Amino acid sequence: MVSVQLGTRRKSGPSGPVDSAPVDSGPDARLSDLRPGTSGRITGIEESVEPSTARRLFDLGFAPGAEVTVLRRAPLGDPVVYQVVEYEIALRKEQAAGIRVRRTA
Amino acid sequence: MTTIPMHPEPTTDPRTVRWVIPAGTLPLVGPITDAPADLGTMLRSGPVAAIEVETQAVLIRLAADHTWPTAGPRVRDALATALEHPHEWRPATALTEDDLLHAALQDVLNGPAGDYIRSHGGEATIVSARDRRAEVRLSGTCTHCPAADFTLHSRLETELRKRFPALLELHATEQPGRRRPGPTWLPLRRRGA
Amino acid sequence: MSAHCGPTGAGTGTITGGTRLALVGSPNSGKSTLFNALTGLRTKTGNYPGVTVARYEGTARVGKQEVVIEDLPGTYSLDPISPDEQVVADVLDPDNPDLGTPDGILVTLDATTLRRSLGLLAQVMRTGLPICVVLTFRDELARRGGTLDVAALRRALGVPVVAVTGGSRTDLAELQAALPESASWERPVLPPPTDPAQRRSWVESVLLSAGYEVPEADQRTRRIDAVLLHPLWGTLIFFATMFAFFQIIFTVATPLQDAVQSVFDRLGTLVTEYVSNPLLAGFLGNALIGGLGSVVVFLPQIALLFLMISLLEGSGYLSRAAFLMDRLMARAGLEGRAFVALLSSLACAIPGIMATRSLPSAKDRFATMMGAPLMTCSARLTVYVLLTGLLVSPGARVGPFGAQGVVMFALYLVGALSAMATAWVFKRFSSRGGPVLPFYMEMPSYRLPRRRSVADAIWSACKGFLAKVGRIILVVTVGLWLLLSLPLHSDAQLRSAGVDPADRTAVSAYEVDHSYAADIGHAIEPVFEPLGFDWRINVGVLGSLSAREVFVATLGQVAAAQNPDQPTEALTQMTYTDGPHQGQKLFTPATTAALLVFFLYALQCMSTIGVMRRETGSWKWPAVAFGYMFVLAWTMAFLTHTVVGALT
Repeated sequence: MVSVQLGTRRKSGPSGPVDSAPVDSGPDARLSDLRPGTSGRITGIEESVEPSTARRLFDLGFAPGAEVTVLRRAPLGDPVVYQVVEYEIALRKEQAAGIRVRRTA
Repeated sequence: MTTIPMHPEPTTDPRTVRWVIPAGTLPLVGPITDAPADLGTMLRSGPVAAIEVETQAVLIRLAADHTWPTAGPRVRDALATALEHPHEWRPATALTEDDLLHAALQDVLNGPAGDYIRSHGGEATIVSARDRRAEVRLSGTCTHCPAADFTLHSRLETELRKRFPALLELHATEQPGRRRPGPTWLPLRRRGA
Repeated sequence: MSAHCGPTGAGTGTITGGTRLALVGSPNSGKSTLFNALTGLRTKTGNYPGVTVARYEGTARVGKQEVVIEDLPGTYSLDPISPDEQVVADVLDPDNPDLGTPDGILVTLDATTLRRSLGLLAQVMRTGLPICVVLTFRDELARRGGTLDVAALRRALGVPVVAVTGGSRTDLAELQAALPESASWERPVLPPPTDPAQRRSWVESVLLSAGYEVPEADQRTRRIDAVLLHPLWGTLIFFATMFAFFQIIFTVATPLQDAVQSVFDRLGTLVTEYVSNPLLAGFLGNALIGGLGSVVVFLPQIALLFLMISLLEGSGYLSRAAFLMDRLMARAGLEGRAFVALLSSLACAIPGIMATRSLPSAKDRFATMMGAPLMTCSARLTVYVLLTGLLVSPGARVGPFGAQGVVMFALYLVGALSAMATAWVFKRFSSRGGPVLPFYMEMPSYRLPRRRSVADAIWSACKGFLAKVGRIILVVTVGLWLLLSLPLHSDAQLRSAGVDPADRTAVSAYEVDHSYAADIGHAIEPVFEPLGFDWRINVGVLGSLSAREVFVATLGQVAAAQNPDQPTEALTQMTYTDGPHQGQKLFTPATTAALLVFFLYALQCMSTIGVMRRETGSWKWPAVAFGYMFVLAWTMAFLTHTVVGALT
């Protein structure tokens, strides 16, 4: 209860984009590469992602340190439903590809 | 870097704000004479008049010529940094772990769990607090109800463990001469403290 | 906390006086339900200055006081990425001079997604305005085994927190009592931090203090999704649902609409019977009652559509349907949520356009609105039936299928493809300015829709349509009627023209032939001549500007004047009365086909124009839609006329 895992890095500014550099080394994957049923911990947002989009992903809960689970794909392969901070949200491949994760399960 | 969860709550005194922090963040309670980094600077020379640590909060009182809307952000930043260095806080009086346990238990009995007991006409007093073991004596009408025992004890235990994670045992006795005399021992599991 | 000093209640086109509160919340947080429950029937729509984002305002009565509540577009953040979100940020910005700063803010927080929602609350709290949190779906949190201490949450946030469960009146009463007191709402000692890491530490601490625990996943929702989002079963169920959806709007509404129509027809007949002055009778019967009837007749469809949309939305299935359709809609540059709007437009473009409200981005909304009127609506169907009958004989076959059915199917298909293509073009065109919005869509837990919120949604949609669109249509219908009935002809004039004043049919045919509308029909002949239309078709087309069905009625009237016993026969035998083709048959395959195509593309529906005006808040978009659809209709009809003319 006491030590709550709260992200991994401080941000550059009050409303700047989420810093994307991973904290420690290790193989990172794109969220869009994860298969349904697997999970990952977010390490950052790709630098190529528009700052406003990166900021929005952060506000939606896709913040560094957050745990994401891939729930299911749409029948046509896109979009995909993810679980992040206790709720479920669908992202298109394009958005999910901008989120870097470390596989956890 | 992990940022310690904290948020401000108002008190009856507009100059004093209760910064709620997780129990166990600081290994001390009571008035503070010095704190690390900028918080210490503010206490010694600047806008902070007094700091007092409770088991789940830090009470910060501003000097007369400062207000929370203006000084608040700096205090928040300073407190966040200071909480990262829990062993550099200096209490006014040296405290043992027993003192912490006693303070935590007093805090529990002053809080909602104590309110619950009092609302049923009961009373709870601290018998002892040492070596990570505590003992309270319950008296009053609530002890008539055998079903209340378990819920009450487990509630006190949960609340106390929140504030004093190293707790080994909570021992509750009931006032003798009632319907169910003798102590009630609770099997308290030790969670990863 | 310094008090705000912005002007209050000074926004353009807003209700003034009394306390003004803004309602803020993320989509699916129960915001609209709360708005409808608080304001009930007393709502008003307008638009924000400079942008075409609809502004919804309502009045909540608390005792003798009136509190104006402004329902801001749903948002996940105050860092705007779309015009809608910009509006939210602007309204809440005390330094923005264009919009009146509200006296307080109501923030709806979904108790099951509190960890995410507190981020938005933290941003709203930084505006420094008085805030009251309305906690929704606490019953669902309890059902899923989660916990939350509301009193502790209130203490930790430092602002009032009122838990409202569905439509519970006692919960609402507590909130209502607090509404006018925004000045005395408790303020936080310090606004939450802006730094993202510090903000998360604040959120965690508040949740920890409030004893917030929410189970990992809603198992009921997971189990339902396993079926409803299954690649095979989910797709089948989706198509079954959409089929039922369309069937209900289309077939269940029809008898209701017929009933409404017959009531107005009877009223019109009564007027003609009892009012002796023919001009007054015509005005009351045709213009006023007819015009009113043409508005009211859409109510069953709108009510049914909003019944089903609010059921689908309230249950959480709408998000799933959009999820399943997203890939397909992406080809038109749209997203899954636009599917429902386009599908509804198959029944009628009006509910279709109203359904675009569920689209979070204004660009998508306009693109869908521009495409929606091209979907084959039920009004086109009557014209199609008439013209297809003229074009193809009932016995003709294409392979195993009846030729008439094939033509009809082709018209539906071309309409749908044109709608998608148009949406794509508009999306491309409007997206050039700004960055492409990311797509994200929350998948809410399945919930039982509340009867009260469904009823509120239907009622406010119907009321809004009647109040605003009705006025526009009535004005246009009356104007059109004047054009078709003026100038007046005395009996002497009629007799000198060889018309028996006692023969009502002959008189009305003569009146139409010599009306200002006929003059206009002749005047615009050069425009439609290349399509093969004569002045009578032009009058019909002109009349159909109010509603497409009018075309059938107008042509029927003209034909009945010539051969009252067999109007259809009269139509086929109709010839050009003047011009180079005098004496030739009017409804050649080329002309009929051109007319069909013209109706496929043209925006001949005042109600659609009126509802576009209402939904976009300006005349710009209806003007754009009318313009592009007219050009498209003329061009495609000309091509059709040329091609079919060459082939036959």
